Amino acid sequence: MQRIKNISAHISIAAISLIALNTHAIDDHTRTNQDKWQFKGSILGYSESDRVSVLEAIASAKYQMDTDQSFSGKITFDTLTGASPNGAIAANQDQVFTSPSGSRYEVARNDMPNIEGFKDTRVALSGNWQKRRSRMVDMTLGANFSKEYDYQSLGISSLFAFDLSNKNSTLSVGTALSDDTIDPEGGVPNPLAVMTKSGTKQPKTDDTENKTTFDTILGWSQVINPYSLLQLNYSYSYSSGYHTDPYKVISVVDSVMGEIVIEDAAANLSRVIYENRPEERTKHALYGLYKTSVLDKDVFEISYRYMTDDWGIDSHTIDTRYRFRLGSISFLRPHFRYYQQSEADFFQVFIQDGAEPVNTGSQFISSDYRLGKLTTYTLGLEYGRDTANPWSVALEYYLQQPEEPGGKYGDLQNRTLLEKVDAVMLRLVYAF
Amino acid sequence: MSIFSVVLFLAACAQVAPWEKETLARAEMQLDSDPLISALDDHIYFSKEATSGGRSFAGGGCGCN
Repeated sequence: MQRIKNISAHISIAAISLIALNTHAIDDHTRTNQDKWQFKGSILGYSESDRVSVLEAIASAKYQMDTDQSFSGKITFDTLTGASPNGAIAANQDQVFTSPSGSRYEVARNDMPNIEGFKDTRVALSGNWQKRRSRMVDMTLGANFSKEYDYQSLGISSLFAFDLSNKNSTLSVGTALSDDTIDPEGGVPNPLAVMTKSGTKQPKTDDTENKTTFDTILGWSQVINPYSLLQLNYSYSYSSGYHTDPYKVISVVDSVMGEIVIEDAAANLSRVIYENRPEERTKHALYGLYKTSVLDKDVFEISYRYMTDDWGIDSHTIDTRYRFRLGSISFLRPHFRYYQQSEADFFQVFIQDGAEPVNTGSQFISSDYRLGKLTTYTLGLEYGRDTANPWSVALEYYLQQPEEPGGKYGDLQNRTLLEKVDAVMLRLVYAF
Repeated sequence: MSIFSVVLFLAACAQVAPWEKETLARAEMQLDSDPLISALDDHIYFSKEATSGGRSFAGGGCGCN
């Protein structure tokens, strides 16, 4: 009887224990489910002086399925409004152009020609599935899609990371493929064709154009000591297809006076030709990042990137941040970035009358300031709090200083052909 | 070649034990500790400069103005 009582007591204790365990299990399950999801959101306001303004919002979610695999997704919305340079130069007289949609627009004397009233909305989706294949190998497969009024991009990617040397080294290999389609407003301009006045047939076709990009990346990350990390990447990118900006033109100027040439005197239309870029581009980049903890509370990081391509562009980028810990949960993070690039072989801000290129297969020309020689600086300050729902706010200033082209003569010497661009950015990030 | 030598040297000499990685495990010490900020930065610089990628894939992207 005593034995039965003991058994009964044991069973009761076991039952209570099971209930307790089960309760804990439910708590654990509930907590785990909550912990399995991570959400983050960000809003960016970007405003250039007299040009483009951007409002961009990103929401991301990560679901940790188990210890070995996770899924993350991201959705991005952005709206662009304002004015975008059409590539022509300012002149000592009022100028008239035909907009991509075929309407007439005027640019005042000495003003840089911009396409005004530009507006576009973009939505982008991306997803990544990360899976640990073995104790040493981590795999990430991704897909992305973005769509705006005249542009669509579809891409897939894969990345394999191999942990070596007790996880003190990681070797990663990745590839990505993307297919972009552009359906320009008003059609695809015939390369090097002269813009005609509004109301007449424009030298354009109704085609859409495509570009395919193949990327591969080879990376090495290394633990240097208990406080420092190093990352080195080599990346290769090859793109084939339509690289031309269908909205960009180049001014034709008088070969003696350096003044713009008028194509149609009655309409006061400036003579400009549509740009033409090569159908292929190959880029190589080296990237290095060093990150270290300072005094076991601050974090210093600095990166350098060198890029060279077969368009003749070389660039150097230095990016550095220092994260000061303030008290137990706040931080302050100054940011400085320096970027410098040389110009593309076919970059030309203006072209002399009579010397216009005609062979679309071999003669390339673009006055897009982004392909010119330029230096940019970013200076920013971020404040954040590492609470249960961490957040941060940052204010940054961006300055782009282009280098004036050589060979200016006549009226061209009296004016700045490439304007500096400066922008202010405000960014909020919130995690929950 | 010199970069490769540095990598080999670091790989050979750095042996940090798992229990010594408390600092490296912190969120702010991850290689890309702020992926959303990186994405926003990449979009801006992709739109304004001739270079993209390096840290990750350059990709196709957008018809940015």
